[in-house]
Amino acid sequence: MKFSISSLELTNYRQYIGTQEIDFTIDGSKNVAVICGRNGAGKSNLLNALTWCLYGVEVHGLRHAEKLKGMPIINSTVIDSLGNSQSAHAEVKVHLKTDMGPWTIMRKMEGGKNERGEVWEGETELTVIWPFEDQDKVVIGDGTQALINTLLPEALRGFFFIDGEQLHNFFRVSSSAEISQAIDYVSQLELVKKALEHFTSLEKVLHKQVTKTTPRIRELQHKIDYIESDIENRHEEIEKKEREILDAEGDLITVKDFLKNNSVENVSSLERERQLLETDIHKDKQPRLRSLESERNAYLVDIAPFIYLKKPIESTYSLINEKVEKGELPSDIKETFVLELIERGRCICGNDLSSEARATLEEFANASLSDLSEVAISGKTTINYILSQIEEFASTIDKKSIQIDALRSEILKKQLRVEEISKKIKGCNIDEVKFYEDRRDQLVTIKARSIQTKEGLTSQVALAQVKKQQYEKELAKELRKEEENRALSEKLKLVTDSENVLRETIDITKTRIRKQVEKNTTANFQKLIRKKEAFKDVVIDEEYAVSVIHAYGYNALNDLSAGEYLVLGLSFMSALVSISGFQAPVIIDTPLGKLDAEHKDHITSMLPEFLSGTQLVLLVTPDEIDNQKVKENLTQFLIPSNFYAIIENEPCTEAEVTQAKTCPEAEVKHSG
Amino acid sequence: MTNDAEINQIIMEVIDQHCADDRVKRFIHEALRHELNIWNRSVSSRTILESYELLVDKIVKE
Repeated sequence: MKFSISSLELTNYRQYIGTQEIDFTIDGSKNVAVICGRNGAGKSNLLNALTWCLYGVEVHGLRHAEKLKGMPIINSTVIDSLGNSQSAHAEVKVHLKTDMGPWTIMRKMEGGKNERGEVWEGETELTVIWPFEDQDKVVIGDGTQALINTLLPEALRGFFFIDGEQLHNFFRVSSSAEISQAIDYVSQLELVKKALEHFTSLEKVLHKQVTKTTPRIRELQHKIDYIESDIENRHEEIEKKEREILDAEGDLITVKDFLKNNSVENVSSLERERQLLETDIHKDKQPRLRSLESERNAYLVDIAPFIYLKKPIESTYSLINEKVEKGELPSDIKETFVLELIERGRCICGNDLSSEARATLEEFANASLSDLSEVAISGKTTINYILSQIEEFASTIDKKSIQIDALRSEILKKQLRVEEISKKIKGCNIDEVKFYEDRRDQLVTIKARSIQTKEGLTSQVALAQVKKQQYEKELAKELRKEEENRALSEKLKLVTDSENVLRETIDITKTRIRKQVEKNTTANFQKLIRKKEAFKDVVIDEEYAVSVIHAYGYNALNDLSAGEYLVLGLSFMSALVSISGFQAPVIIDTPLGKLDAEHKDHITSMLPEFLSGTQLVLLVTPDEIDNQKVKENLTQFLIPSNFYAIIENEPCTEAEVTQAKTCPEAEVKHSG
Repeated sequence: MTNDAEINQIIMEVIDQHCADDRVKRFIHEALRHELNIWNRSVSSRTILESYELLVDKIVKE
C-alpha cells in the first residue's frame, strides 16, 4: 500500500512545546518538502517523532544519544512548570494519505510529577484510525502495530527514514555482515525464518500428540528430538560466530582507518597499498583462481574415464575399422540411402536396379543391418572425438595448469608484499601504530577462525538436517501403520514438508535477492553518479562484500569521494526500497552534509527525479542548501508551502516549526 | 508480506518451483501472512502455536 504523510502534529514532544503542526501539500510532480534548521535545533527529533509514533522508538541523531538519555519525552519546560502530583502528556499524531483513504496514527505518553516532586513517565498508548468498510475504524493497543506493519514494517524503517550521516558512511564502515543483514531485512526473510522456527516447534508439539505408540515410534521420536536439540545448539554457535565475525569486521574497519589516515606518512601510504593489495587478492585474484581450479577439476572429471579406458576404446576403434574393411559393417551407407535407392529403382551410376540388386538391397534393409551400421558410424565418430580429446589431454591440462600456477604465483607475490608491509608497519617506532597493527593481526586471525568454525558448523547442521528428514520419513511410515495415528501423520507430513520447502526457499531466495539488489544498485548508481564513464559495475559477491568496479577493472570502493559514497549509499537503499515493495515516504536527515558544491548540485538535481512519485522530505541545515544551484534545483520540485524552518530559543530547550521562505540562520529567537 | 512486491514474487516463485504440493504451498502462504500480522507484537509462543495448529487442522480437513 502506498502512503505519504499529509501532516505531522507534535504536542509537548521533546523541544516542541504546545501543539505544532507541519502540513505537507502532496503533489505528484513536486515531491520535495524541506525543513531547515541549525544543528541541534530539532531536525533529528522530527524524524524521531515519526519513528516514536509509528514504532515507539527514537533512534535518530544517535550521536546525541547521551543528550537524549534520561531526558523525558515530554517537553522539559512543561514538566518544570508542573506542581507535585500534576501531570501532562506528549503526543505525536501522523496523518497519512494512503491508497485506501486517510489514516491517523497517534502515540501518547502521560507523565508528570509525583507527590514528592519526582518526574515520572508512563507507558505509551498507540491508536490507529483507518478506513474499513467505508467507516473509520479505531484500534487502540493490541493489533495497532500489526496494522502499521502493513504500511511499513519496523525492520524496514531504516531504508525510508534515513540519517544522512549513516548513509554517507554506510559503505565506508559497513561490513559484509551488515550488508547481508540489510538484504535479510528487506527480503523479509526474517518472516520466513520465523515461520520456519514455528514449524519446528509445531512439529515437536505434534510429536507429543501420538496416541498409540510403539517402541520404534518412541525410538524415532527420541532420535528426532536429539537431532533437533543438536541443530538448535549448533545454530546458537553459528549465531555466536556470526557476531564475532561482525565485531571483528567492525573493529578492523576502525583499525584500518586509523592506519590509513594517521599522520605518519610512511605508515599511511603502506596501509593504503596493503588495502589495495588485499582487495585485489580477495576480491579478484582468489575468486579467479577458484574458478580456474574448478574448471580444471571439471575437465579432469570429464576426461578421466576416457584416459583410464584408453586401451579398450582404441581396440574397439580398430575392431570397427576391421569390420568395415571386411564389409561386415558398411562405413558410409545409411538406412535412408538404401531405402531411397530401392524407392527410386535406379542406381547412383544411372542404371536401373536389376532384380538381383533390388533383392540384395531389400535384404540389406530388412536385416536391421542399418541399425548396427548407424551405431557403428556414430560410434566411430564419437570414438574419433574421444581419441582426439585423449590426444589433446596433455597439452590442455598443461595450459590450464600454467594459468593456475601463474595466478597462484601472482597471489603469492602480492601476499609476500602484504607480509613485507606488515613487518614494516610493525617496525614503526610509534607505540600507537604498533598497537593498532598488533590489533589488526589479532582481528584478522579471530575473523578467519570464526569463519572457519562457522563453515564447519553450517555443514554439520546440513548433515543433521538430512538425517532428521530420514527419521521423519520413517516416523511418518510407522505412524501410518496405526489407524489412530493416521490423521496426526498427515499433519506431521504437512508440517515437515513445509519446513523443507521453507529451508530451501531461504537459501535460494537470498541468493536471488542479492543478485537483484546488485543489479538495481548498479542501475541506480549509474543514474545518480556524476562521473558515469568512470565506473562500470557495482558487485555484491557471495560473501556480501561490495565492490565498485572502475572502468579499468579494479575495485574503486576505497577510493570513492564523499559524494560518491553518498550516491552509492542512496543507490543501495533505493535498490532495497524498490525490492521491498513498500511505498513509503523517504525522509533524509542532513542529506548534503560533507558534500562539495558540485555533488550537492548533482544530487539535488537528480534525487527528486530519481525518487519521482515518492514523497521526499529533506531535513537540512542552512549550510547544506546555502548554494544558488542547490536552491534552484530544489525549487523545481518544491511547493513553497512545503518549506519549513525550525526556530529555536537560545538555550535550545524549545523549538517551533513554521512555514518560511528562507533558512533560519538570522531568525533565532533570543529569549533574553 | 506486501502485495506486488518484487521480493514476494521472488519468494513465491521459489516456493512454486520447489513445491508441487498445493496444501504445503497454502500452509506456507498462510503462515507467512500470520507472521506479518504478529511481527513486532508480543504474542506468546503458545498463542502462535495454537494458531498454527488450527491452520494445519483446517488445511488437512479440507
